[in-house]
Amino acid sequence: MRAELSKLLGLPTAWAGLVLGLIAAPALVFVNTPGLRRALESGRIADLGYENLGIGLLGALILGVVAVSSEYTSTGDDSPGAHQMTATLLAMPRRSHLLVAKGVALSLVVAVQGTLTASATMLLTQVMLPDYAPPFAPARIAAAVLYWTLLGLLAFATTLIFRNGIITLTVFIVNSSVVSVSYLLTKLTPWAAYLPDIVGAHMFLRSMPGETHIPPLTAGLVMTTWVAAFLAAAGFFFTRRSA
Amino acid sequence: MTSAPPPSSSAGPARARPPARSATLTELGNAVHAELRKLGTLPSLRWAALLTLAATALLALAAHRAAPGTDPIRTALRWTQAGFLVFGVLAATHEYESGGQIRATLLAVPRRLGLAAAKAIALVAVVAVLAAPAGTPYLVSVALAGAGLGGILRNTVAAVAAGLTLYLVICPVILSRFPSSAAWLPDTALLEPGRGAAAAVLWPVALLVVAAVSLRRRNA
Amino acid sequence: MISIDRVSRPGILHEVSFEARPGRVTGFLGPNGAGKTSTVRILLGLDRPATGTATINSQPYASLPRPLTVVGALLDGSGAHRARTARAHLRWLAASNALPRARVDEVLEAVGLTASAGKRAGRFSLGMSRRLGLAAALLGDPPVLVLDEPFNGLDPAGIQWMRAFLSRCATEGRTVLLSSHLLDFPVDDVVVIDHGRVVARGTPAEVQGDHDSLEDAFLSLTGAATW
Repeated sequence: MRAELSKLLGLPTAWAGLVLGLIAAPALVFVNTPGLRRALESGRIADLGYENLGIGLLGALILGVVAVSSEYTSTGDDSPGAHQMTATLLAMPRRSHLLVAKGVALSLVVAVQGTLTASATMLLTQVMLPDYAPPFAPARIAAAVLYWTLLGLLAFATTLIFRNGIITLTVFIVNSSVVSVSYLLTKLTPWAAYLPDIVGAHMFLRSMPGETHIPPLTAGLVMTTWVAAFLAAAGFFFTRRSA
Repeated sequence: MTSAPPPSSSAGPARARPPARSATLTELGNAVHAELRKLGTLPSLRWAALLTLAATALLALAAHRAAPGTDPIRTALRWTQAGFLVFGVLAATHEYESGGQIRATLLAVPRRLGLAAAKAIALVAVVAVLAAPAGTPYLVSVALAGAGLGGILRNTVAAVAAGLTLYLVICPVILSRFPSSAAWLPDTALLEPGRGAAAAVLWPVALLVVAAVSLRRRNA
Repeated sequence: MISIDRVSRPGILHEVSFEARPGRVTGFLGPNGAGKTSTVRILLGLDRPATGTATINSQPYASLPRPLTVVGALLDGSGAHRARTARAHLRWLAASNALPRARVDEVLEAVGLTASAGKRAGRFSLGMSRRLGLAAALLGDPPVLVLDEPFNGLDPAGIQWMRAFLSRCATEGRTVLLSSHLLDFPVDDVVVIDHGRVVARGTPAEVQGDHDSLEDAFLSLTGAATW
């Protein structure tokens, strides 16, 4: 477990993800403030500040992907088949334990990062837009952090399933762009609102675009189920496949 | 190993030198040929192309249903341009993955700026064919930008993360904050070709120049 | 003809100079970390020296036209991307130097990989990877061969094959430079390097001097004899 934590924090890409996650959301508040003020004066937005948290997700996603993909990157040129995973499995042959250790390490890092970012973003929103900022609500921040952690784990699980970080990274970043693909899919079928990223956002956003409104608790449960299912599938493949 | 004899030194299958004047062009042509072969025989590139085209078709269908009347392919490409970016990144970074192919490449084509040019030409050719159904040269620009980032960062995950964040997160945010910046953003040309053409050329060129200089200066 | 002339890299190489002549196998010997690979990489234009020059037939590697027809190099690993087949790898290499396609099958045959030509390089064993690397080196039928630790990863039969191969190359008049931390093969000339400095140069007899064997001379020259 401590080994997994130090492995994760020893990766330059992981740090890039952390830093990105930490500064992106507050920076967005900064950049968006004038535009927001205009929007606010015309009166709307119940999710001030929270909206910007979505972008910090990128950090969590990168962390989730890197936690796995680093293991499958070849370590040397001598033997084409060598990856860190081989060494990791030799050091920790119980694969289920390894998976749990990795998941816990990732969740911890993302949760700490998420808490810091979310608090910073909300504080910044209070400072920049004192008249409009919603009251400081620890529960909503906790929900946002939970959302991050779950998405980080989802990225972790999908990377493990595909054994390829690029697909996960692409799908998730594309989906966190201005208008998410999942949102476009809700136009095809209302059930798309239950895709993990959208349903999860209902945990801490009150005014989601789209017709379907899902209460936060249901949203949290649905998303947790998604993540659990993906983790289970990842665990299934991981314990059965040869390294 | 078998006891087959090593090739005899007298054979010299093609040792005659090409005439000096066209030597550089011939050399570039050979390097482009080799790069095309590389792009054509890498499974991950085939997958990237296949998934991108499939996703574009699917999302175009969704866009068509959601908002009939708009150009569904362009709407879909707002997202699936990511696939072209990844394609460009992989074309560049696969050299640095396991096996140390970059050394084989540099031993075969030691003039590094020529190598960088050959890589760009080959990528343009392949992506132009792939993007033909979509009918927008903008996708070539995205792929080249990906290749530039890949060449600079030499790490697939890092380059994909950086490129996608730039195109799909940072640019839209800047655009919504400073609408007048559209002409300077690399992704404007997708929806407004007239307005963003210059930026769509300049961004990838700038990234490729940095990548070429870094290839030239760094040890392999 | 390979010549290395006062090549230095801070902290790694100090004024390394030697030559490797046609028709001879030159052994470039030294313990691990002595600077052998650095020297070879500089010779092949992969790294840049701080000072000094390394040339092949009086030209730096990077200015050789169609370099694969002049120098064949074997470095760590095969140089093939793990997802590409051996044949696809050799084909793009052949294309890069305008070599006829038939050469690909010839070199695959020469290193005994014909049956595995359609296999992905990532599925190769260590020994097969080395052979694929050697096939790439032979592709242009080059008069100069530079081999970095060619015996690494070979099984006993492979080592025997490699030895025979090396002496055949020299008989044919090729220049062979091979670096190794072993002394287990016949050479015509020896260059011993330690801590980035050339500590001995000459024929095996000259380098051996008063020592009982070349091995003893090597150990005492490189300061490894204390144990």
